[in-house]
Amino acid sequence: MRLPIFTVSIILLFSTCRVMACAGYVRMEPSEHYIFYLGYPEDKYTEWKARTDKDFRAENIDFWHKYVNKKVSAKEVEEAIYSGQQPSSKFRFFDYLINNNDTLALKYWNIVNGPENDWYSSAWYYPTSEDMANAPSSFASNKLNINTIAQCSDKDLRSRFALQLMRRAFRTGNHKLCIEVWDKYGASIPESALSTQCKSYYAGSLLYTGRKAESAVAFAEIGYFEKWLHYDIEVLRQVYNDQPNCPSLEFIVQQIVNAHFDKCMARDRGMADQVMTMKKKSEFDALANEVLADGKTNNPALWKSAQAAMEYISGNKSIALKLIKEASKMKGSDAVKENVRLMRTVLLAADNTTGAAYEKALLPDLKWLAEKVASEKYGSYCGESWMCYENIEGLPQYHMKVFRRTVLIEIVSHFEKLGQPERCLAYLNMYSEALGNKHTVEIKPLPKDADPIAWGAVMDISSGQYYYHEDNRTDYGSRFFVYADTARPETLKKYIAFINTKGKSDMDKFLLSNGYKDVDFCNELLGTKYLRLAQWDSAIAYLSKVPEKFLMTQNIAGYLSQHNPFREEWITNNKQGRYDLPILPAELYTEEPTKLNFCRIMKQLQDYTKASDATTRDNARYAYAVAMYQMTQFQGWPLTMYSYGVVNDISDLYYYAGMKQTHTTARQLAENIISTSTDRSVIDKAFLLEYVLLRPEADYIFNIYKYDWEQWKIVEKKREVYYALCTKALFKLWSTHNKRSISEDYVYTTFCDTEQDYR
Amino acid sequence: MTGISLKKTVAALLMLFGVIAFTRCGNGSPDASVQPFRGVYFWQTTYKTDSAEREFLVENGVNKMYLRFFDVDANPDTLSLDKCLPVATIDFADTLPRGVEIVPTVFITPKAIVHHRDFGKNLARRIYAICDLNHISPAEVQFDCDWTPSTRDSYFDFLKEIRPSLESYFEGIRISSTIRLHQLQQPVPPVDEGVLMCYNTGNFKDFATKNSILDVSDVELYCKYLKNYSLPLSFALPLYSWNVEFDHNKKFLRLSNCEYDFSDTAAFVAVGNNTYLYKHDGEPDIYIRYESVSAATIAKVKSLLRKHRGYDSNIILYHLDSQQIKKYSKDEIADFYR
Repeated sequence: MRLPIFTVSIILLFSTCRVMACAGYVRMEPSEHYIFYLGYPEDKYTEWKARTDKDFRAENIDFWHKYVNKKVSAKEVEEAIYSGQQPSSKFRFFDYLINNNDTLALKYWNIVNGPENDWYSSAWYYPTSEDMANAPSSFASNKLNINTIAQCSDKDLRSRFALQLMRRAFRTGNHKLCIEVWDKYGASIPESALSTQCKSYYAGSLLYTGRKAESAVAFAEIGYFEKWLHYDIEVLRQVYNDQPNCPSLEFIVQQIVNAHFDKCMARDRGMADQVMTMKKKSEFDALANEVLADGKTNNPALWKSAQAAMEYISGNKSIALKLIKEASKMKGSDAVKENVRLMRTVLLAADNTTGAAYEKALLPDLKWLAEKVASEKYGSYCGESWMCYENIEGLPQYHMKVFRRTVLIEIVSHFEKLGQPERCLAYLNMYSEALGNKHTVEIKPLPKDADPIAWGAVMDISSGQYYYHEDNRTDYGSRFFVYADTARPETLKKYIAFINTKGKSDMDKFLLSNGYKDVDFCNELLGTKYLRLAQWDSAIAYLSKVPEKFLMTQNIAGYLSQHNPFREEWITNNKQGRYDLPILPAELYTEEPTKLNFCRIMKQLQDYTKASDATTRDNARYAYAVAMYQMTQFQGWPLTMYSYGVVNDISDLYYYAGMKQTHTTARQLAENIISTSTDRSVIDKAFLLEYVLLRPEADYIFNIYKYDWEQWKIVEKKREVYYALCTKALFKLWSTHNKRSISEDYVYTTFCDTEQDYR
Repeated sequence: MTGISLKKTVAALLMLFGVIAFTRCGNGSPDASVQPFRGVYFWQTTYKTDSAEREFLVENGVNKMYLRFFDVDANPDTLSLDKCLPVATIDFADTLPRGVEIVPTVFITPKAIVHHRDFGKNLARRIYAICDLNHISPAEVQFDCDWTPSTRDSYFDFLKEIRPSLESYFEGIRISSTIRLHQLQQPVPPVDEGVLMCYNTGNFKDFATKNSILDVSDVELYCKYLKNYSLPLSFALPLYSWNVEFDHNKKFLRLSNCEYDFSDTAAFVAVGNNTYLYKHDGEPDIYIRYESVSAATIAKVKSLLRKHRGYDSNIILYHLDSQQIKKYSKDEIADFYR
């Protein structure tokens, strides 16, 4: 059972988060994605980290179950080994060991389940004298050292002893012992969870004892590499000198390139830091050149492409392209070859070449990448949700990230520089489609007794049946939508013209065949743009082309009837209802409010603002002014936006919905009424409108600085002054006009209720 | 005879009076508030002393030992819940000297200090446990951190926040901090007293450095900050030497404690005051800069510091190691403490 009001509120809130791309929330941008990724062996580490305690528990139970030849049930093994208690006959598993006089296994469990183990379960633990006094008498016999391991003839048990000793040695800083245990026993453990854990301690001890190159290789072998730990070209040189074809080199190079990337991307970098990163780049360059010259590597493309990545990160795109082209002709592992092609795609997109040559060079790689991304069906569960970009590593994600960088950064800026935003739209459309953009919503009949308003339901006029739809995750939130929605009408017109052709070049054909070509979608967007600009004729022309069937599938469909821009929010709490202004002929209204209906009403009102009859003129001016203000506010947002919620901020509204212009018009009309009208009730209402209109202006000034604390402190003070001025202005206007009081109802609503309820 | 004796007596009395007056008033030194002591650092991972070291303590009346308990470093496993780990914890293989106050000392790396909120309470508990198990009743705990303006706030916050935790274990505990020369220009850390580290004054990795352990000119640069430094200060002076090794391109290789025979001119070619080119068969040549600090340099630095700060500052020698102690005569060492 759904809770309608609450659910709808939540849906509203989240749909807002998704749709309002320009809202002020943190969003993972493609510039933050790495461009050099070979997968191996980070995936291995991710896989390791993904294993749960449950997996390890099952492995342990299985091992000890087999160790006792299944003479004790798995459940009894589990009870004993995870009891946290030292061996005693109380547990059947331990009892078995005692009866079989398995002193080493008993010793093992004395250690692992003994109080001494607490010492090592936390690196910070150190026993107090009280802890020691409470330790059982067997404590001394638990002493674990390398001789204990030597006594053990069972290979598997020996490995487990080795892990215990390495763990203790590492945590107490006895790195020499940790390395010794690895050399003697750890290195021969077959690849398993046990060997990975042992190796992690070994790698750490190597690091602490200054054997950085060996440490880097050991860490890489278990798939773990802390970038900053080895952001040291000398370490890389040493690894190469020791083993020019060491398999871990790929991973170490990758991490160094990405550490460099992080450094270059970091904000507020000081001069010293910049010099240091450039020095690292030069050192890496020199090393790569040496490696490529001495011919010992079987993977030259790795080194060349890493040089290309470093150049790209440093902003030298043309050098990077030259290097990556060279790399693509070199020998390299499969992972490196794939990475070279991915990087080449980005770099071709970043190339300064203009004209047909640019797209001709780019097409094969872009096509390959788009197909790869689409086939990975990344968007089927994630779409363009920003949450999916964050901190996810792995090959499919990497393809998607390169795709994002290629289109959103390189291609879009290329065509923007050329003044061809409609071409950006064509690429963004293809991009959003590859990521699995959805264009239809599933419409379901509203459950019986459900409140249509709370559910945001739409009524099918012919049948009277209400429908609701599940929120469309991507249609009004994709990059394509955001770009189209914020583009100038001319851009969208050119784009509509383009999708109505078959395309001339191969790239045209590729973009057209892989893009979304719904003219209704585009006409609706274009009509809305003209609506925002108050160009009613153009708005009506385009909105008239959109069939009602399409409108029903829109995410805003259910909200239009719930937000009435002609009802002043500061006077009435009734936000819904038909657009039934008494001054207009009844036949002008449709059954349900739509954008088209709104435009027609506004056009009629606009005409009436010039009427010779004063009452009609004043009331039309006022109604027009109110709607001009409210169509970008809560009371009328579905007319100009595709979502609205708590994350909206005024500065976005200014630019996104053209609020500034509509508000200026509203204000001019209000002032006009005040100065020319003789109708007291309209003048009073115009005063209030004037006052309300001043507030968003102040909020706008405030909001543009809200992320800058120093500026905010200044602006916040100004805002208070501004509000005071607004109030003062109201009283001044009030007193200059006939020195009479505004009706009590209005005063009450203005200064009490609206103050508290103001959005 | 009498006249001479009288004159001598008067002169002696005047001198004594002068000394007393000078000592009392000094230069208005803020360090007079600290109890006088003779200190030494113990900076190894196993507490074990040989006879020369024990003798050193007794002969010089050393009554305070700054004992490094452990270091705190960033955890290489960044995914671990513990952002920082205690490393190189001291192991007690010998009994602690009688009559010597032990000051638990913890070195915190700059990488670790930024995560201090993750380890503050654990650290206090750990110091307590080590003290408790090893029968140490500290009146002071010292922290050593090479903080810079970028990590200063973290370190100062740490010092403020660790105090109540330490006080819950040790009533009335005093907290001290090492102060590096460059830190004298910075605000004073929120501690009860400081120890000015008059060593590691240069960059040992730089081939052009003459002596990274102690260079009088490096100390001179910072003396002007001493007079008004509003924290009681003791001075820590170096008692160690090392070899700094560079490859044939003068690039830093390592620090070592090898006992090279620099008098073997066939193998070691002097290329500077204390720098040698080491030629050994089949291996690339390396440069070795032998760094040590002469008794005269230590005396000069001590006098320079006291001139700017006052004559009642306590002296702590770094560090207790018979291999290093033997390089100085007993008189020289006694003189360091005076």
